[in-house]
Amino acid sequence: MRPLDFYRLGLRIAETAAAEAEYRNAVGRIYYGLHHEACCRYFRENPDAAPLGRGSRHLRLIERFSVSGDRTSNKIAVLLGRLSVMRNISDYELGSSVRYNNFLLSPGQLMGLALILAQELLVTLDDYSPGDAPDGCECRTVQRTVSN
Amino acid sequence: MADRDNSSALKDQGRLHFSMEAKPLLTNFRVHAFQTIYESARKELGDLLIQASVSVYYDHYEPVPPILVLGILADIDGKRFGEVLDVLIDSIATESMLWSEAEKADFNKIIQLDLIPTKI
Repeated sequence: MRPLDFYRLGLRIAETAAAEAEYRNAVGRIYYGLHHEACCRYFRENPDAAPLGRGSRHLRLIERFSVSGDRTSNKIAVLLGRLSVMRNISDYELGSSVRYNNFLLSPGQLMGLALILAQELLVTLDDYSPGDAPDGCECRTVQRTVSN
Repeated sequence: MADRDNSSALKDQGRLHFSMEAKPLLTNFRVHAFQTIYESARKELGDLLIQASVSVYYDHYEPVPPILVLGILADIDGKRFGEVLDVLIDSIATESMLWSEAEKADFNKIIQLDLIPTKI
């Protein structure tokens, strides 16, 4: 499968979502699709870069983009970072409203926010490295944590 | 979209709020970085900036240090979102040219920016 298959599944769930579990599930699928997609495009652009450490790959991938120094990469870091937080909230904070920064949102509102960020991230990823990641692409990781 | 008290929003408008939880993690550099981004947001958004606050985020999945998040709530929609985010990111890039390598590394590891549009 392609990484963006997760993302597209998230969009399909979001389109018809009516229950809290569906809103939450959509956020998770959207995030994972874009995490894998961003990772594959990062290594496509940086084939000699060290693999990510398996125990902290999500944050380390965000750091890779944030230290790159150009606007496109920095924007990817910001958007990926926020979607990662939304994924965590969706999976772990099971109240009828969730605290996102200092704001209380319904899971439906959190999903709506995730969709805005995801759309912007996808456009930004195309600026960074045009073309979807291929079928079977895996985010390059190693068991031992690699700091950067 | 956010369930919040309008009177506190008005009170908070025009200043950057630091949560109690964030305060122990603040350094002079981090406060300076937050203020810089906040001033850029105020300049760009004007009255559309509803609230800006720094909070702490702990990751549930990965054993990583807490992250300081500057959340900016703005009365904008998804279309304006990307444009405003570009301005804020540019302001960070401009400011970071004055930072040491250690400060840049600190910013990249500890600080995240969050722009939250009200019109979802």
